[in-house]
Amino acid sequence: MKRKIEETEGNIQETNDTRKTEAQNGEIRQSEPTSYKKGLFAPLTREEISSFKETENLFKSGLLRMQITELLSEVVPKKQRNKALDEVLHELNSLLLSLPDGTEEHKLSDHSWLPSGIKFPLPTPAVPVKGKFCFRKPTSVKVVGSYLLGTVTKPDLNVDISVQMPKECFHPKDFLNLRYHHKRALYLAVLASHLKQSSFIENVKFIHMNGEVLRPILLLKPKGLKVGKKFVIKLHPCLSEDTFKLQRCAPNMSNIEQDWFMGEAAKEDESNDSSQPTPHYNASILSDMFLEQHLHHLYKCLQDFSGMKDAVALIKVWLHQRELDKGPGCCSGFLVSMFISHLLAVRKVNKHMSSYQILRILLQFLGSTDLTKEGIIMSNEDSSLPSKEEFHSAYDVVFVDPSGYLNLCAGMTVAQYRRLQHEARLAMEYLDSTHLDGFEILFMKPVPFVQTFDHFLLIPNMSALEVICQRKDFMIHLRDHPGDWTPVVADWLLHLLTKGLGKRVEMLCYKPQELCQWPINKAPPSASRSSLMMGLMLNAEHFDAVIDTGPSADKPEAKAFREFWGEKSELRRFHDSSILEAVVWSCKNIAERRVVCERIIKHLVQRHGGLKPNCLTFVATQLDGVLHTAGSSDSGTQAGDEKTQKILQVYDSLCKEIRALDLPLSVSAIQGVSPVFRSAEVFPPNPCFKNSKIKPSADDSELPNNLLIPSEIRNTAWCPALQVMLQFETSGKWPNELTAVQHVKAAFHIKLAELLRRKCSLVTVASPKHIDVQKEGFVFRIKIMHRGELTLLQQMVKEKKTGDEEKAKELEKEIVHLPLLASFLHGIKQKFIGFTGTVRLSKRWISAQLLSDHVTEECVELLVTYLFLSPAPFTPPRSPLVGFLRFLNLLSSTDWQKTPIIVNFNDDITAEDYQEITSTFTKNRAELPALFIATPKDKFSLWTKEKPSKQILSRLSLLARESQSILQRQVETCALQPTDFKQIFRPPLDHYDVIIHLHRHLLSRGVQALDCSKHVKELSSSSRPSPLLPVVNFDPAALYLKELKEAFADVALFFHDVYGGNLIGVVWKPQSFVATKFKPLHACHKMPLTNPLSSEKSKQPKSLMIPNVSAILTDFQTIGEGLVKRIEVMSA
Amino acid sequence: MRLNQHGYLARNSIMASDLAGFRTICVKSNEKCVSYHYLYYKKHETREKDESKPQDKTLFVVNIPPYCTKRALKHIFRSCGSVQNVDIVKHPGVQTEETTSLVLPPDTVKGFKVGFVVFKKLSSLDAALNLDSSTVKVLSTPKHPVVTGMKKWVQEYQMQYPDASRLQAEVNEFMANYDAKKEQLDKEAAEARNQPDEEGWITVGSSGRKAGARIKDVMELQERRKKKKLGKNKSVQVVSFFIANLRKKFEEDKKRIAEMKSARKFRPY
Repeated sequence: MKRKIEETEGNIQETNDTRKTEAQNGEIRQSEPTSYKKGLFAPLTREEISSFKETENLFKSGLLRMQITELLSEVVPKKQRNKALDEVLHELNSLLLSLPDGTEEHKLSDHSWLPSGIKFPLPTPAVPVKGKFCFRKPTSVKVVGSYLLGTVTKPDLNVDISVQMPKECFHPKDFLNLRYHHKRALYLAVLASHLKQSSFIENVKFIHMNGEVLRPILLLKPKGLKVGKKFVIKLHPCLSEDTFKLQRCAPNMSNIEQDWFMGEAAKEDESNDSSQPTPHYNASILSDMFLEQHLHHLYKCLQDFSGMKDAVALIKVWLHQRELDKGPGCCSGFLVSMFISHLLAVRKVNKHMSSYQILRILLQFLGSTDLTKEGIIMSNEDSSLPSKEEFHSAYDVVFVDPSGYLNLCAGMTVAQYRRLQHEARLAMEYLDSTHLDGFEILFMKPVPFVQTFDHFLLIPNMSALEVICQRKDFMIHLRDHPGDWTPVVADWLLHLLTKGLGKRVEMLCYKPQELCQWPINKAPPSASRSSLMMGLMLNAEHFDAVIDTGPSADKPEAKAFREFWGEKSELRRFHDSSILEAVVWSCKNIAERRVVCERIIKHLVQRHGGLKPNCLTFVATQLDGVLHTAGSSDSGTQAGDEKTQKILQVYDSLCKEIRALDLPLSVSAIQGVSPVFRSAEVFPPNPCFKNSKIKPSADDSELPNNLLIPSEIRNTAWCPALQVMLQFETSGKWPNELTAVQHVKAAFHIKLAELLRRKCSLVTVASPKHIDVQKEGFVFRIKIMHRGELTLLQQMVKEKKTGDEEKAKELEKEIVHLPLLASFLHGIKQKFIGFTGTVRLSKRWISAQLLSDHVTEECVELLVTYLFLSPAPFTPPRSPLVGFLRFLNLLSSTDWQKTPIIVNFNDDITAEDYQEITSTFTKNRAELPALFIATPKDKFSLWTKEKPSKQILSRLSLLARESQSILQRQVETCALQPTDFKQIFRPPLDHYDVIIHLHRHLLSRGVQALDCSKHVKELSSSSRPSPLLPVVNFDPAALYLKELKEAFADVALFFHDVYGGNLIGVVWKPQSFVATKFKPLHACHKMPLTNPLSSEKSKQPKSLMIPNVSAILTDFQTIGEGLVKRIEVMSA
Repeated sequence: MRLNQHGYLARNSIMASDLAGFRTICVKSNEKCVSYHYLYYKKHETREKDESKPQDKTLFVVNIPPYCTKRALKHIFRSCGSVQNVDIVKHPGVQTEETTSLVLPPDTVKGFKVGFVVFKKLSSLDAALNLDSSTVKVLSTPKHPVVTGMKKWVQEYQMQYPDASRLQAEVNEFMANYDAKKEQLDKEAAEARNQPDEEGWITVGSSGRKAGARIKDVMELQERRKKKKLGKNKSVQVVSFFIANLRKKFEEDKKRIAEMKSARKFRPY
C-alpha cells in the first residue's frame, strides 16, 4: 500500500472554529457570489472523499500526515544509491566463504599465534580459560538486521552481516566458563586479520555489541567515498540454533563455575554457592544463537506491512532524539521491531494501520505496561520452557523472544526502562494535546541528557568504586558479568540511591554512554577508566525534606532502617505522639535544603561502599556563585531566599498598617509590582538605613528634613525602592480633569506620608508622584493608582492627537498591565520551585552580556515562565541550573521570526485562541515585535514592543548558543578538571568600538559585580534604625547610561551590565556614518566634512555631514563627569 | 577611529552657502576639552509670527549639546550684544511652558536640542551673523559652571523630593482655584440647561448621574450592524463552505510544509 501524500487531494480537519468559518463565508461571498460550484466549492469527488476519510482514520490531521511523510523521506536513505554498497557486500561474502581453515589447534589461553597487528578483543580473565580452538571457515554469511528489513535510518546507517561460525569449532559444553566467548573472540580476531588485508575495506575496528564486553563485533568501513561515507558494515558472529542445548542457557542455570571463577580463592571460601544462576551470561550466548531466527520472525511481520516499516523509522528518530538508543541496555531499533511484532501477535496492531497509529499504540503500550512486574513472553505456553517467574527473578525487565529462552531486555536496567516509560507517557500527552505541535516535539527537538534532569552526580573515574567489588554479596553478580565489573557497581549504586532518596526523586538514570570502539591492534579499553554521570529528576514536593521517617521503633523493620542509615538514624517523637526511627538532615537555610540529596548520597556511599565522598561530584548549585553579592557578611549561605522572605514579611506588615489608617477613602487593593515581590529579583536588597553621610543643610527650606543626599565623590550603597501600587475604593469624588486628579493624588501622598509617620512611626517622604516609606531598612515606593487618570489622559490624546501618547501608554502599562502581570507571575512562582532560581540566573546572564538595557526584566520573566508552562519535550525544570540551560537553549534554538511565544497563564488560552494568535502572527509578522510574546490578556506582545530589537535578538541567540555549549560541557566535565562556572557570565569585549570605563568606587551596585573581590567600602553597615530616608534608587551608572542614550541614540548603541558593571560598551551605528547633506534638524552632533577632491572638480563644493566623533567622545567624558575613569577607543 | 582624521580637515573651510544658510561657531564645555561641537545658527525665519521671537532680532541655533543651559547659550552670544531672551526646545515649533509647579514639574529637554536667541537690538543680530566661524567658545564659566555628571545627578536626586509643606500649599491653592472654577462652570451649565441654543436645540441630560456615558463611535456601530446582517444568512450552503474550508486548509497545510521543507525543517539532527 503506497501512501504518497501528493496523491491525496484533501483532508478532513475538525474545525470547531465556526466563527472563523462564518467570517470567511461572508468574505468569500462578497467577492464571488456565484462561484460555489467551481474551485473550492465544487462538490467532493470520490477520490477526495476517500483520501479525506483515510487521513481522518489513520492520522490525526492532514498536516501531521504530511509532516511524517517529509520526515521519513529525510531519515530513510534513498534506495538507488546502494549499488556500490551491494558490490562491497558481494565481495565480502565471497571473501568470507573462501577463507582457509586453520591448520592447528591452539589452547584458548594462548593468543601468541594470532597474526601480528591483531590483539585479542576480550579482557584477560583472572583464571585461564580451558579448551582448544581451531579456525574453520564460516558456514554462511547473510545480510541481516535493519538493512535487510528496510528499517535503517539516519544517522546510524549500518549493514548488519551475520557470519555463522561452524559447529565444529565448538564443543557441546563450551557454554561453560567463558569458553564460548573466548572462541568467539578468537574467531573474530582471525576474521579481522583477513579483512584487514582486503582491498575493499578501508578500516577494521572492534566494537562492543550493545555495550556487552563479552560480545565484541567487527566494524568495517568500506572503501570508496560513495559507500564508505555513510554506511558502515557490522559483522556479527553467530551460531546455529542447535549448537548448545537451550535448556542449559535458561535464566536459572549457572554456567560460570564458582571454582573456576574464583580460582585459588574459592578453595578457602566455605560458602560455595555454585548453583547461583548466571542469567546475563546465558543471555549473551543465546543472543548469538537466535540472531537469524529473530530476523526470520521480523521478516514475516513486515511482509505486506508498510506501516510498520515507517513506524520503526519514526520511533527510532524519537528514541535517537532522547539518546534512548545509545549505550548498553538501550532500546534499539531491533527491540522496537520486536515490540511491534508482539503487538501484532496479540492483535493490538493490524497490518492496515498507518505509521502514526502504530506509533501511538506502541507509546501507549510502553507507558501502560510494567515489564518489570508483569513481563511478556512471546512464545506459546509450554511447561518445558522457563517460567515467567524465573525470568523476573533473573532480570529487571522481561520481554522474552518467541523461542521462550532469551530475554530481549536482558541488558536493560530498571532505570532505563522507567525513563523509556516516562518519555512514552510524555509523548502521548503531546500527541493528544490540542495546541502543541506534537510532531515538532517528538521528532524534531533534541532532548539532551543535561537538560532533562535537575541535578547530576558525576563519578569522574569508575576505578574509585572498584573496592566495592570485594564485598561478598557481590560475587554472584560479578560471576554473571565476567570480565566487566562496572555494570554491577553501577547497578548497585543506582539501587542504593533509589532506596535512600525515596520520594525525593521521580527518576534516577545514568547518562547513556557511547559504545567504545577500538582499533584491532589495541587491547580493548578498560571500562574502569570511564566516567559515569547520573541524573536526578527531583520531586518538587519532597526533594528538600529535612527529615526521613522510618518505621516505628518497636517494629521489626526498624532494624533494617537503622542498618541502612547507620548512626544517622535516631528515634524521634512526632506531633502525633508516634515514636519513629528518623533521619534528620539539619539545614541552616533554604540553599542548604536544596542540596540535601547530595548529603544523603555522600552519606550512603560512604556507609555502604566505604567510599570517600570526594570521589563523587554533585552538580546542582555550581552557578549560585553568580547570585551572591560580594562583601556582605552573609554571602554563600544566604542566597537571596531568606532576604526575599524577610522583605515579604515587612511588606505584609506595612500593608496591614496602611489598611488600618484612617484615610478619606478606604483602600481596596495593595499590590507589590517590583520583581522582588514575586521572588524574581536577581539581588534582593539588604536592609539599608543609612548609605550617605550628607544631610540637607538646616537652612535649606526647599527640601524635607528627613532625607539623605547622595555624595558625588563617595560610594552610595544601592538601596532600591520597591514599588507598591495602592488602589482606593471607587469614588465619584475624584475630579474630572487631569491636572486636578494629579493634584489630588499629591495631596493623598502628603496625607498618607504624614499618617504613616505619625501613627506607625515610619520614615516617610512624600513627593508628587509617590511616597517613599522606609520600614525596617527597606524602602517601599507607594503609588496611588486611579483608573480615571488613565481615561482622562487617553481622552486628551484622542482629542489632541499629539504629545502625550507616550505618557498615556506608560501609565496604562503601569496601572493596568503591570499589576496583572505581577499577579500572574506571582502564581507561577508559587507553583514551580525552580522558577525563582531560573529567572535570577537568566536575568543575571543577560545583564552580564551587557544587554540589560536591551531586554526588559518582564520579557525575561515571561520567557522563563514559558519554559515552565510549556516545557515540552521536557518536564518543568526543578533546579535553577537546568532551567537556565533550557533558557539558553530557548534563546538559541528558537526561530523568532517564525515562532510566537504563547505564555498560557492558568490555561486561559484555548485551542482556538492559539490558532488565532498564530495566524495573526504570521499575517502581520513584519509589524510585530522581533520577540513576540502573547499572554491571555495581551495578544500583541506589549512587553517586547520596544526591545529587544531584531539585531539585539540575533546577537542574544548567538551569545546563548555559545554559553549553552560551554555550560553543557562544564556540567559534564566539571568532575574531571577545575571548572570556572562564571566563565559564561564574563562578556566578550572585542567587538565594541569604544569602551567607557567607570570608577568602581562610585558604582552603587558595585557589590553585585561578578568578580568583585574587594570589599567595596559602604556605609550600609549601619544597621541602626535612622530617622532619615536613605538614598533611594541612586545608581550613577544607570543615570549616565540614560543620558548617553538621550543624546546619542541615533549614532550609537550602548551596552551595560546593570549589576555593578564598571564599563559601558559603545557600538557605532554604521548607517549614521554615511555622509549626508546638511539638514538643520538632523545636524545633531555632526560636523561638516569638506572633501578636497570634490572641491577641485566642481566649483560649488557640497558640504557633507558626518558625526563629530572626537566631540562625541569628549561629550562622553563631559556627561559622565566624575564617574568616567577613561574612554578606550578600540582599534577598528 | 575611522573618521577621526577628517575631524580636523573641516576647520575654517566652510562656506555659509554649503549649510543651507547656516553659520557655524565652535563650542566646548570647558577649557580642558580638546574637541568641540559646531553650533549651526542663522536668522530666525518662519511663516507664523511669534511675538516673543521677533524675526529680525532672533537667531535660530541647532545642535546645542545636552549640557548647554540657557545661561550658557546666552553667554556665548553676549559678545554680539545684550540678549533679551533665550529659549531651548527639543524641536522647533514645540512650545515650552514656564511653570514652577512642584506637583507637575515641566519636562526638561533632553539630548541635543535647538534654541532661539532673542537680542535686544537689531544690530546684534548682524554682529552674530558675522562671527568668525573659527572662534571656540567655552560654555562653562567660573561663575556659572556647566554642571554635569555626578554633581548633576546629585542635584536631580534632591529635586524629586520637594518640601511637603510647600507641596501642600501648592495643592491647596490649585484645588481652591479648581473648585471655584468648577462651581462657576456648574452654575453656567445649570443656566444653559433647557435654554435653546442658536439653532434652537435644547440639550438634555448632559449632566447628572449618568453624564459620563460614552458616545459610541458611529463607524463602530455601522460595522457591527454589517456583521449582524451577514450572520443572518449563514445557514445557506453551509456544507459547501465547509468543503471549501477543508480544501483551503489543505492547501494552506501544503504550503506550510513546502516552506518548512525549504527551510530544512525536517532534518531531525
